[in-house]
Amino acid sequence: MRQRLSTALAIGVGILILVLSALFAFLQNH
Amino acid sequence: MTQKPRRYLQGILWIVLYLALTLAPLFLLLVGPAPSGRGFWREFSVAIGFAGLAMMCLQFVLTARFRWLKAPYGSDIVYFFHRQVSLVAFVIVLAHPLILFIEDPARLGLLNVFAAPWRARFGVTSVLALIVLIASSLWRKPLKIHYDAWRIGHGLLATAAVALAMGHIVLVGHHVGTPAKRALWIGYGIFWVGLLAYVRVIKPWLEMRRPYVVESVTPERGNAWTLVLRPDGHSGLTFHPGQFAWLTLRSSPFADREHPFSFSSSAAQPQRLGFTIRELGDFTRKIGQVRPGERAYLDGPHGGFTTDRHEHAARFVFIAGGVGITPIMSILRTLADRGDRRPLLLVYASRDWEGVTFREEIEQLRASSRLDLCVVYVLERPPADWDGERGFVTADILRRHLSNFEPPSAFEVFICGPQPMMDAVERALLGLGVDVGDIHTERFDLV
Repeated sequence: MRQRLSTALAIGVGILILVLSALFAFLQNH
Repeated sequence: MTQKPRRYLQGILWIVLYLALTLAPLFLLLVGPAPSGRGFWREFSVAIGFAGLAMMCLQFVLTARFRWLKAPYGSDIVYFFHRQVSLVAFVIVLAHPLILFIEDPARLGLLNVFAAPWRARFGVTSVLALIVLIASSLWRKPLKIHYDAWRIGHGLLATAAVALAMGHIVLVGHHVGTPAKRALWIGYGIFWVGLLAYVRVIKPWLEMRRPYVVESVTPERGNAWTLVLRPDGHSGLTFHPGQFAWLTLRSSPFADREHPFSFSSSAAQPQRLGFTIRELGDFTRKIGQVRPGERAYLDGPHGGFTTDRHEHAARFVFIAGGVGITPIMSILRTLADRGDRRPLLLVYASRDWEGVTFREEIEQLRASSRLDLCVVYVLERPPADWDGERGFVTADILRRHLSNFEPPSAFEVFICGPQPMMDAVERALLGLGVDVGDIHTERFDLV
């Protein structure tokens, strides 16, 4: 269970990075 | 505040801090003055490159054995997160050049490290180091890489990957033009080098100053050996029962050839530290050859797998598989030494009756008045006249024996054993209504 939570956290970190990176790229070009 | 809410709060705090440190480069890219945009995909690729590097830097923190960091989760979960998040970081780092190649295939020429500019050489070599790092960790056993060689290589490859990526950023020079951004990356670099110096130089040096001597090496049932160490010229260490230490034998602490083992002795007798080790891997097969008088070094104690963190618990349930009995044996011995009469249930799974490590002592503890201990052996290959539990530890077996421990919220459960057993037992306990916060595990076999 704890392992699943830590996997979820790792994936969550990845998704957050992708979203913020897309936001950055969008703002850079507008 | 009681221990549990405080630990939850601390656990959340570290996660928030981790997110902040990982995402800091992105926020800085967003808020600071930035060079003009060069297209969405190019900037997106740059942003994930920065974030990937921040994640790689933070990997060093996760394995630096800071007790305060691991306390809320347990060491095994921090290592597991290190492993899982490294895969995420790897995908992100790999996506950085891939997006650039897809956007402009002419950039594929940068992969030719002989003709490419230095900034590309640094980047390509960093990614190559990362690929070897990940592959050697995921497939260490199939690739037949010796654990000691893997550990040394792992540190070197990680250092190389991060240093080369830093060089790549500096040489490309984009988005590091302002003093604030330069300061952030210099800060990240210094922090990382400092951490490395602490783990690889200061900690081993401190260990060298506090050596231990092997007092005895005794064979145990189940193909295991008990190694007893005593401090040599210093006061030794105190630990909580269930914790573990990194043990260095026949080598210097600087050689990075240490292995984690649970204490099996009583925490009430810290002058004689016992470790019970089953012959399973490269290092453990040689334990029987160790002789009394040999020098040893310890880094510890570590880990949150201990009943001492649950002083208010009314009862404890222990579920051990094979050599997973070692931390639990330390707990039983310690509770017996303390005269702790809280009800205890031990469910102990073994292959056969002859291989039940500590069998005689567990029977003595069960019969003694020092503990209120109930023991259930579960044997995979029981003898013909066996009338106890057989097979594996199932939900049925647990339900039968936990019925005296109702309601499920009244006890804390500690599980230690082979990975498949722990997964199955954890699922079974959750199915029986045991709260996830009351289940404590210790897993070592991650690589």
